[in-house]
Amino acid sequence: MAPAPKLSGSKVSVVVPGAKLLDGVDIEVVPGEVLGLIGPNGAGKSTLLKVLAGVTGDYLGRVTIGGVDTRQLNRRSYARQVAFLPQDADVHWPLSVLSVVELGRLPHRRSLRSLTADDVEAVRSALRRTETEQLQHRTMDRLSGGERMRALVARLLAVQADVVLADEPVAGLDPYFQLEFMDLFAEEARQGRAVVLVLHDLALAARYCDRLLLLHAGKAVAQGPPPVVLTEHNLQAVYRIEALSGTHQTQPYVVPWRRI
Amino acid sequence: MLALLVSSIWVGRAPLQVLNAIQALISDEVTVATLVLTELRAPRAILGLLVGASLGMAGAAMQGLLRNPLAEPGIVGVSGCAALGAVLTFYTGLSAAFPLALPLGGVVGALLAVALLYALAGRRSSILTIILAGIAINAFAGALTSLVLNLSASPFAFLEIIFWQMGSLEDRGMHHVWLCLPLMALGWVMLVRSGPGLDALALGEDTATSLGVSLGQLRMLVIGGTALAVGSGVAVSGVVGFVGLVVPHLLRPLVGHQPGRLLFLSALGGALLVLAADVSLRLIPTEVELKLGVLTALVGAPFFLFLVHRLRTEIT
Repeated sequence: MAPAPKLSGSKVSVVVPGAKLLDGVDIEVVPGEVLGLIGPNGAGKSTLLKVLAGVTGDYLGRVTIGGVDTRQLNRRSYARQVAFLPQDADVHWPLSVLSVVELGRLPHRRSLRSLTADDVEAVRSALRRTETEQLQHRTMDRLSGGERMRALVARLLAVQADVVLADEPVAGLDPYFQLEFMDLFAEEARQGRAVVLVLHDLALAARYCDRLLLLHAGKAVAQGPPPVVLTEHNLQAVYRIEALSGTHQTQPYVVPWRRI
Repeated sequence: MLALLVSSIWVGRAPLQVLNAIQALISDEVTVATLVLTELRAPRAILGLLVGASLGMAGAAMQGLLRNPLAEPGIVGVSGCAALGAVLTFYTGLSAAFPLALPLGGVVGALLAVALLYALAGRRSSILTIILAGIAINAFAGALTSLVLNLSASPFAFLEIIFWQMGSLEDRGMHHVWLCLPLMALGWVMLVRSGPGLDALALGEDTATSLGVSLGQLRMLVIGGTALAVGSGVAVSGVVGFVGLVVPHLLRPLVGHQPGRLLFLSALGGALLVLAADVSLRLIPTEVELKLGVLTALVGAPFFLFLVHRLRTEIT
């Protein structure tokens, strides 16, 4: 695919009465890489992702995609370029997995028209890559937490957007599927997409992300490759923990060990 | 549907030689039978279909928007305000001086309800705000309606208002059909256009937005479409409750619970239900013919309780 347009935010602030959720954060999402948003609870990770997804318009600063201010963009064309999976995503009716994944094609469809061959192919590929083909005729309320997450990630992939944003996409998955899904997102990046993931698991963040952005109380305190961000000092100052870290098969690892 | 339509025309208080009437109609004769057919039976059947389709479709759309199977068009206050608007035309005597004032009052009332709802709930408010605003509007409309009843001097007007509030398709003419049809059709178009957005909304507001759905526009389509379709329907038929609740709920499993596809099916189901209810009214041998709204409430209210009970046990 053609190189994806670059998504970036400059001096992004989100203020709600009594609190500053984000305070002048600069972020650049580069096609071809996986960017991990990390930080303790309440650091502003989900808020930042929502701003990038265009879901909230209540922010200060500027977000651009391919140089165009996203506030100028029409909702549907933005939706074709940026796909988003929110945290704790829920499905309100007992829809089948297939019809949920098909909703990922909504930004591409003309209203009330049926699915095109492209749509069908995108849906099929998303089901295959998330191993949800066998689940496609089950309804969402009959799935386990992990199966439901896989169906929702399939919906995310079915959009085939240039930028993929996911808020804790591997929470609630067993280790096998955590690794498989991180591989999946890495593959999305290798195909030229830009991937931004909110992650709590520092081991996965260290191993799979090309770059990390560490948020603390609404501010970006560190940015760069995992070894640069996940330093002993940062972990102590931001997460208030000590961690074991090192390198295994040329990949960095971090294992949270004790509180300080 | 065809069978129901035929039986709706066939069944009536007075026996009607339908074939003779049609024969006379074709040969341009004016007989009592043709008059009953064209002035009474046909408008009644057509209105039944129109009102039922509006209630069914609006119910499905409201439930999709509020993501709550207990929602009903009445919940946003449209029915209550349409009723108030019509009652006011009675009270002021406008409807006596000018017969079409009654349905027009209903439409204006429905539109006021939507305007008020928008002013209260705004463009970017939560679903809960909309429900609460709807409850408040409904309560206010109900209070004002009672006030008008309370103040009404003539017992005749009092009775007429009460009967009309029960909801009925009796004694409606083709001019009622022509009056409500344009507004109703516009409402249907708006509701049908909300389909894809309602599907996306099943995944939550944030996901729907990220899929290119404008929530403000979606709410406008559903609330505006409901106001037009139901408001103009209530204006000619009176308050026919619970159709918008029962029909979508029963039909939802047939379309895999997809809110968009449910719209068409609920319109069809609502039309059939109201027509069937109206035919059965005429078959029930009572001294005075039962009112349509009374029958739907008798069947619908226990169903509503059953739904509340079932949802409660599901949650706990």
